[in-house]
Amino acid sequence: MRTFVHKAPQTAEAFHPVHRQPRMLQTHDKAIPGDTASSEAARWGYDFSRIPIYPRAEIAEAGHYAPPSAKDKSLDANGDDDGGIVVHDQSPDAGTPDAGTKGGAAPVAPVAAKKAGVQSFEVKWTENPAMSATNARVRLDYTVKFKKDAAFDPALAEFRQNAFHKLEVTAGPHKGLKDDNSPLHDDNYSRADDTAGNAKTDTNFVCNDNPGASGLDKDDVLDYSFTAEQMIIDTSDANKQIEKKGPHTVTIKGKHLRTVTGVPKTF
Amino acid sequence: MTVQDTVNDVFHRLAAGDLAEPVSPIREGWETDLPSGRTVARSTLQEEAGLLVVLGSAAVPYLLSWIMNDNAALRYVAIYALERITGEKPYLPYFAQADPEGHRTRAIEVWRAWYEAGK
Repeated sequence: MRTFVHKAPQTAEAFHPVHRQPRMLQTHDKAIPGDTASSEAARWGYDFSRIPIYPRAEIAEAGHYAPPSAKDKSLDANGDDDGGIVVHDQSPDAGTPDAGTKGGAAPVAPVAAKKAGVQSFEVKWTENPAMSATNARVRLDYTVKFKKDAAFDPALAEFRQNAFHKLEVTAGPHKGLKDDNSPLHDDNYSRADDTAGNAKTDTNFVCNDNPGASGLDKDDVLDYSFTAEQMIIDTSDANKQIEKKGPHTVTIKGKHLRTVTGVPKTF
Repeated sequence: MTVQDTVNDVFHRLAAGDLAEPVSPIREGWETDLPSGRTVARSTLQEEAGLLVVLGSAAVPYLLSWIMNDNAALRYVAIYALERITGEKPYLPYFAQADPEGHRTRAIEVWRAWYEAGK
């Protein structure tokens, strides 16, 4: 097995003697102001602009390059399939100049596009353990397991939450305090919020939300509600919604000890 | 006081667990601990980041180094401020302690490029 890092273009011009031997910077070479190539040459000791660059498609068309077929590829050690992966070419003749070109241009095996898939998705609404005279809050815990196989790629799945709250203190030291951000709107949750530090390429996603109010007085008479819905979307399919929980609403009312409705509840 | 001093003051205050006067009683989002052990919600950190966002593009170079901080709460404040100032939102898992895939380095390059382009 060889590690496939880069396959040099096999065009006639690329192997022309002039290009095969790097022209090292000569002592009489002088950088010309504004001349990028000369400046780079002076900086690096070699004029990189002399290396011919060809579009990959053009090279393949000329029969000098064929991408390894899907069966020849394996992913890096942890199997993550995202951009920037290291591809290990496992074919016996991989990396040789004629690899994949015997008998003419190698047919490119069609690779089915992967999509996002959900194996399990749970949203748990509970009373917040931090609930107190000054803290009126609930807790939501999200647990998702994404599919990962030949057809599904967890990196293509995104998590979204739409939510809104309404708050009013009707009596007590903070009487008159009001806040309302309805209707339902995206409150900027994403896979980046994974509290376990799982990457997008991982099959697991865990996160939580602790909505409510803090800094209250025990005698504040509260009228609070929080409504939310959670979605998994497929970024490879125009952000198509593939799973949804809710919407569900919880309320916290009264003064300490306040009454909470809508919990516990699991979707 | 320079922009650099202001940026560093905010982070040093947060690291010590001192929070600015809350703008709103509403709390939302996940919770995490500051280096002092004080638990804060995402909405609290976003309020704190607001003090950095008002500094504008001049704060960008001084926010970048905080992306590499060991504490997730401090990292998040820097990330949120950079996202708001630049409008660039590179994928960057907030709670990943290690960064084997180099997301932080790539994000820093995105924000550095934005800053350089605007100079």
